[in-house]
Amino acid sequence: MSLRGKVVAVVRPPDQAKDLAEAIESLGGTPYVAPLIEVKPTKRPEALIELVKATVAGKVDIIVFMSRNGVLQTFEAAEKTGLADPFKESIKGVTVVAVGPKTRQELDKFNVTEPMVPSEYSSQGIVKLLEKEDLRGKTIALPRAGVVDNSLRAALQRLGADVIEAAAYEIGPPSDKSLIKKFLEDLVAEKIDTIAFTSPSTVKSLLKHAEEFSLTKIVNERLRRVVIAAIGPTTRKALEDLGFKAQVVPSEYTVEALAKEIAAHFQARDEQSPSGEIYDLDRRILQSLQFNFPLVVRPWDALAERLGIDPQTLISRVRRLIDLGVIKKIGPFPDLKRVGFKASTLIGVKVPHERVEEIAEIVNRFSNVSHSYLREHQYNLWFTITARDTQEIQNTIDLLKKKTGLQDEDILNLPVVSTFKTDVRFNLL
Amino acid sequence: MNSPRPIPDNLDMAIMTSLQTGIELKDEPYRDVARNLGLSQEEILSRIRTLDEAGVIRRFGASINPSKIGFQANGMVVCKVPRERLTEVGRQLADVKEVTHCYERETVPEVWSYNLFFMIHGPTRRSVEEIVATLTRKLAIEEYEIIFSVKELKKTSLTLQEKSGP
Repeated sequence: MSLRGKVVAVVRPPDQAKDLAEAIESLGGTPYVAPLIEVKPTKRPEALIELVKATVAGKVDIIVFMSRNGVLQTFEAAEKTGLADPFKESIKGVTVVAVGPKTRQELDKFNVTEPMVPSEYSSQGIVKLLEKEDLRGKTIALPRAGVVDNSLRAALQRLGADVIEAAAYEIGPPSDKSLIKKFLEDLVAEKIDTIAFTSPSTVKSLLKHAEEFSLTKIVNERLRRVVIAAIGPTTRKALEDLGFKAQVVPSEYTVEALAKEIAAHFQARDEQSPSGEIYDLDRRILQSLQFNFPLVVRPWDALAERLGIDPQTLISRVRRLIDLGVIKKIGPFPDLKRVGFKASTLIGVKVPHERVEEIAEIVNRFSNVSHSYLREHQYNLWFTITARDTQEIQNTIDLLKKKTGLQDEDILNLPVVSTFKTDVRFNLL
Repeated sequence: MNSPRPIPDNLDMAIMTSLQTGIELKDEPYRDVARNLGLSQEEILSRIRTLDEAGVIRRFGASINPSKIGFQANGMVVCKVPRERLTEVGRQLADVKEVTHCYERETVPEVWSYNLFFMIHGPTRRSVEEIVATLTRKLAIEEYEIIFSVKELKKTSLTLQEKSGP
């Protein structure tokens, strides 16, 4: 499983981006770190301080940490209010819940060991974990991001708990937006294969900044082309609410699992077409590309629609067919006579067997030589020369004789008198 | 179009030169070329269509390497066709879908008397021979040879230069 050749955008703040970036690198991919959000201490710390005080006062039965930042900022608030030690002491008597392994690691730094961790690293996972307990009359402290939906609080309240919710930190746009602008431009320029969204706020920020830089339409289009990955169901839901579909959501909501799932997604896509084999769909694609290429601004969309597949699939199949050498080029084939190359000839040369490779190499170095073949005939080396006029052809032949020592009688020069057909297309159906 | 401009003009040449290695695999493959030439994508396409209709572009689309799709055999068929029948035979061969190239070529007295050349690709030598047998019988071509390729040594297209023009 590999992310080789894939550029995966990591849109978390730099200090949190590291783990995901490393996971992507370890799978051979290229992480593109573009923080779409910044985590700042809350401007209104009162509620958080109350939460700390309530804990110290022994009023809290359960404390639920939803992120690394939540842990960090809560202990910071305790520190600032001079309650660091009593808070650390009192938390020992509290049931601590960490949403996932990263949050648990952060707690470990504050000597809070062995918190409960749900099997699903999400709000839903926490509800499932805690509904096993009798929460009636229990007080749950919930330090978390400033602007969030209150569904977790509501769910815990439904289970009978009192919830002290406090904004531990705020998520906002980064102070330096130049990176975001660059990221959006690179996204539009098709330099990014995948975006790994790690929270609803990253999704919202991307669209908000697209609007800010007047790129909404084109960014929306790109988002329908790249592979969208979401770390978990909450982020997936945020994407869905805005009309985007996450193709990748790992079953375990960690950055490592996210990176692996992205790699698995690309592998599954490639496996639909193992190397070297040309499948029915490829044949239909090759047929359309040869006989019916649409001359429109968005040809892949038009072709994909005709073939009944999505444009992304078409482009990746075409790319593969190019890599395999099946497709040599997709573009215009000028009638060379009409673009200034009036003279064309076929040359047949009698080359002694032992000099074939040497002479072929000399011949092939001429830029006006093409279609060079070794053939079964007394004239065994054949190639064409296309030139502006017959003089240029004669000059090429003279130079060739000089370089190879071949004589006139070894060389057949067979200029075109008239063209009946040049149409190198192959019917594959 | 009633514009008196020559086709192709310098801008047409610049477009064909820009696209000669093939269009990009991007949603809008002409965007960069259009920007570089200071045209809209629609203008680029409209010019390509005009070039296509005028026959300056033979065709627009994919070129395929026959050996990669199972056409391993490539036979150059060289024929001796009487002068008075040459155009007729050439045209008939041009209508055959298996024929990819068909040219009348100069002959060399005493050395080379074949004057009509055509090319057939097929999965096997046998398949090429069968097609050639059918065609030559039908077109009453009596003297011919099939010169099979043994090895492809170079098959690149000619490069248009930036400043080249008719």
